[in-house]
Amino acid sequence: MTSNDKLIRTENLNLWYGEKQALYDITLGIIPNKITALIGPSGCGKSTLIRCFNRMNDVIDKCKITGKIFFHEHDIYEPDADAVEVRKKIGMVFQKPNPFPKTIYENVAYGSRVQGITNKSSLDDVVEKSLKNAALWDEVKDRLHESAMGLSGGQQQRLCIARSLSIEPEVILMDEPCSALDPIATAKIEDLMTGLKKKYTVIIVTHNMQQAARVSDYTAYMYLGKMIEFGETDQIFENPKEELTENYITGRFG
Amino acid sequence: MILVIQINQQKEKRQLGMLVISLAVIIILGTSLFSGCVQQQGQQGESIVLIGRDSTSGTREFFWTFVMGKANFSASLLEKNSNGAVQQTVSQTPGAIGYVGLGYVDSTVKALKINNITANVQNVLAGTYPISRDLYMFTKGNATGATKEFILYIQSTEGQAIVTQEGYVPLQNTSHYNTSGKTLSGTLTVSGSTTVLPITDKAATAFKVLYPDLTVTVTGGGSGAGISAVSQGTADIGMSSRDLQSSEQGKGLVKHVIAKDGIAIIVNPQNTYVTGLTLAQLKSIYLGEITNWKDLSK
Amino acid sequence: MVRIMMGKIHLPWKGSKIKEKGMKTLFFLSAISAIIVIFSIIFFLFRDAYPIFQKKGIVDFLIGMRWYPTGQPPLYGAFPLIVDTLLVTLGAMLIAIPLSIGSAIFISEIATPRIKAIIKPAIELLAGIPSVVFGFFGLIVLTTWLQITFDVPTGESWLAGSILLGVMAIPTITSVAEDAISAVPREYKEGSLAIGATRWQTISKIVVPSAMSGITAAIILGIGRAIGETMAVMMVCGNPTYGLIPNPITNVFAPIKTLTATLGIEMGEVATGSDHYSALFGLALILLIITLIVNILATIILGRLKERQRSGSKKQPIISFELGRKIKLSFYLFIGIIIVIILLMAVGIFPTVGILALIAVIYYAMKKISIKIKQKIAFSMISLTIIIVIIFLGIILAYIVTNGVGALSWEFIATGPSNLGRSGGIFPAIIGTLYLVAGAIAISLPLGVGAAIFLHEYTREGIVTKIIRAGADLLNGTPSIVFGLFGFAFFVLYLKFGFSLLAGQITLAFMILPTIIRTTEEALKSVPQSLREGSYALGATKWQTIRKVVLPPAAPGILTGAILGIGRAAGETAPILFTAVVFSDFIPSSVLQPVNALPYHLFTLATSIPGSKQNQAGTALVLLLLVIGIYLIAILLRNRFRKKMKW
Repeated sequence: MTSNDKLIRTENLNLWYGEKQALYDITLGIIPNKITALIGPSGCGKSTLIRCFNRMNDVIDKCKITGKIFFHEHDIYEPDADAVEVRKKIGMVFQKPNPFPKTIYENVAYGSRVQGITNKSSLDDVVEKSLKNAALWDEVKDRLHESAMGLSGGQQQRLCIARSLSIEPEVILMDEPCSALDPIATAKIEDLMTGLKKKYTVIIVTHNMQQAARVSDYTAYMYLGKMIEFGETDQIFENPKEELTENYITGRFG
Repeated sequence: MILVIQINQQKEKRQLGMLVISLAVIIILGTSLFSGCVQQQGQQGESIVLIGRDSTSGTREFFWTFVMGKANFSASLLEKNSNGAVQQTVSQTPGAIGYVGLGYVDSTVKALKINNITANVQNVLAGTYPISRDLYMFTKGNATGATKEFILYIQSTEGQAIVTQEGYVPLQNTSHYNTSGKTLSGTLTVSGSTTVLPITDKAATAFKVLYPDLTVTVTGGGSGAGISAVSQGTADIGMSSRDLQSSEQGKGLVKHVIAKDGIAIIVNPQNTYVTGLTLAQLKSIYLGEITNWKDLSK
Repeated sequence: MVRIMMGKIHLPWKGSKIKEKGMKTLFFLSAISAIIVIFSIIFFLFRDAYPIFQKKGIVDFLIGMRWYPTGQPPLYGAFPLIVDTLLVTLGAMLIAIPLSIGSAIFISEIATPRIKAIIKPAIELLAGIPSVVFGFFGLIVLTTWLQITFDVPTGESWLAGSILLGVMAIPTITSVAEDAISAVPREYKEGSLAIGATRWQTISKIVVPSAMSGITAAIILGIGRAIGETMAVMMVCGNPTYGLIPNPITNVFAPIKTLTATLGIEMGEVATGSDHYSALFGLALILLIITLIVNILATIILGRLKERQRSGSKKQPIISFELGRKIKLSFYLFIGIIIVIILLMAVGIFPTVGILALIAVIYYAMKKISIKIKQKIAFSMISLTIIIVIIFLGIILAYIVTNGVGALSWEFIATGPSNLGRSGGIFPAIIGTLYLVAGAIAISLPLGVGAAIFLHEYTREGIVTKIIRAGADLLNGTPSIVFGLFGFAFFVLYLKFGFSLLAGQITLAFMILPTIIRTTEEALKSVPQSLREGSYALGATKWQTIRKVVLPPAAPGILTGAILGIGRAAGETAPILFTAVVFSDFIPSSVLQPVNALPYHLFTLATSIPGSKQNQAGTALVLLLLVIGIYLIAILLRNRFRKKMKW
């Protein structure tokens, strides 16, 4: 693999929250149109890492980053880079479903609206297409103008996926998207992910190892802020190179 | 992506220029509009600003009865709750006119001649200055003890010296005050008219020298407040610049005249339009019929 | 059998039960004190206002166009006073709302932690400046500045009142709005940023709309504060006789006379029991009703907000989407038409067309501008609001400090005034203020803490607590001048205390009671339930638990509340104006004697004693240092306490 194959690439990424270092020298490459899973015990820095990819850590005070992250070979942390432009290309779905306190329609149309699209028919198109891509359209098409807060947890999470799809990103980051959901809703989201990788590159953080094994093509194992092992999912789960990875996979700790 | 950013930057520059221009237009238009609004307000110092006392003041009641013939004041009269406040506002406001007790005239304001008579103690005493009245102290029933002695003191030659010193008009034919060996103690509370207040305050200080064991408290509040305080028994003496009203009679209050006062008509020192007014002009001004100083200087 | 025997043997057990009951009754009594006070206020106002309603009729009293109680015939028309009160409040809100919301957004969303740590307490300190100090500044500086700058006959005007009231309302609105904005879940913000919205888009489209009900409540609370404010408006609004509605109604340079100013000016001089006296109580009743309505609105909105936060809001309003949009559209149209009409009346046809064209141009220009520049503009506007607020604060403080520092000396502090306060010091006023505040806190602290203990420890949330809380909220919203009138009618006249220290202390105590109840309740809430359970498990009674386990950790919070109450009581003038104060060098030796106080001393010097400039500024400085010092202690204590109390 040459570096050109990688859609997102980190180089010696270090991150501190105030005095506390959370990531150590992460070097990693993400292959396009595949699902990459980040696994590891709680507090290992996997959520922190995924939030670096769309510069979400900018929101947190006292967060300091060194090293580089390349997206299409452009460093997204260089001084001229615009976090907003980055986020338009790299969408994100959060751990807890977080629809806005607005209608279902407005939730999905929000991304287009903030880009200045006001034409009603094109907004309608975007909403319909995104909801269909997120496999939610049939469930909500009759109540688009009701509050999104009235949806079930699984529906809310799919709405959030539809919302992030609405602006046609290249990458979708998912930060433990199923941790607040029941098994049936989780299955639906997992199906959805598999469908999404045709068009998008997906990076998912999970501490559910079965989920990582089920849906991902590549898996990275992190421990105490360090990248321990990265490789194809089958190899990681069946034949891990590092002892730490093996301990975790086999359930000896974590 | 780099290309996109460059195009954006060019666009931004153009837009920024547009913004600056539109902001400039807003500011120019805004200021011109605003100055237009303001010009409607009239020129500084030429519009007459009427200053008067609040509706329960003795000075106002006297002015209203004597000068206005009980006709209503102009609605644009601004009320102040003390002589000092009237004086202070007039000294700060170029177009203002106000009325205060003679004692409140100082260098920060200009007192006008009325019917060509200067407002001063001599002219009030001579009876030529037209706007003057008596100042009173009221007690509940006949004054006794410390109350009686204090009123006697103010009415004495010594007390009247303070009256003169404070710029008011003293009583005639007074005699010297004599403690004749009396001692007084306890507290004596005096409250009411702000016109009388400066006299009482000075007199109280001198009185305490004569009777070291006595505490005298002097407070303002206005004639009405003083009269109601004394009739309720919360004060021993009520100071007033007016006589009792019908609602205050029949409460057993006894009247003591302690001095005379001229009412000075004051304007701002910057006022170059007038040096004197007739009573008729004064009435027209306070009725709101004359609203500009220029109409008077013609 | 054994159990009964044990019961008989352990008599102290019975005793402790009686004690428990006694404590509960005691706390209940202090809890209902807030309700008793608010009802007595309404009762006494109504009792003294009744004769004028009977004589002139309520309707004529409300819609009469002239206020001239000493005329012949006397006129009792409250309408212009009510209109003026609303106008000055409207103007104040036009100034305060953008500045406070901007400041709130700046503090919670834009400021870096270090800037936030400086600006937030600065704005809270602004809340500590006594209204009489604002009035003093307004009277000496603001009105003169307005008069010269705008070349108007007098600066004492609607505008001067609105500017002062606006500045005074800023801290109230900012801190409540900031709480509301900070309470918006971080997930919303991150969700918005994650799909490529800029920070400004996130703030304007997600954060502020989500905090809207809290912001609305903040604005309503600010309105309540502005309507009830007395000293500042009384000193700078001009107070035209009869009350005067500005002509044209947009003439911001017209002098006006508000309800509170009328009360402040005329109450001290009116003959007790006369029609005029009764009419003034009528005005106070109107004022109280207006502020009660405003505060009830705020309470309802805040209550709903809390409920929604608890239950997570499942359903949105029942109004259909299309209908909602129509209502919104027609509302905007209505507002637009009103603004156009006002403009037409104010400036004529040609400038109105100009303004409208300009707005249209700006609207389309804004559409063309990229979102990045929009963000820059928006952020600079918001930073501008906070800068304006800081500048206001700076000017006021700088004026008072530079002018007052010359008067400060040991003699100024430690001797009495002479020559009507023009020379000499302010010792009696300082002592008087300390007496008043000490008495007020001695009365309100036990009552307030008792009430809070009853509310939080002895009852479940229910109808009783709701009523008591409503009583405290209403008391909190009652204008200070209304407390003054009530104190005058009840303590001074009815109980025959006369103008006395005691009457002033009790009146002030009632005024600060709600603050103490609220802060104590918050302090009790912060003590975790597990501590109480631990104590009960060891066999402690309720009162033992409260005294030994709950109160000690809650003490700093209660102390903070008490200090805030002290600060407020030290700075207030209106409640003591008709109950306790005299302008003199008198130091009372019993609670039934009158007393001088710093705010009243300043008020009298500033409005009645010409030639006392230096001592005015000196008194203002001492008062400011005293009150701000008290607030500073409270803020520091609270911050320390917040850091320490991490359970």
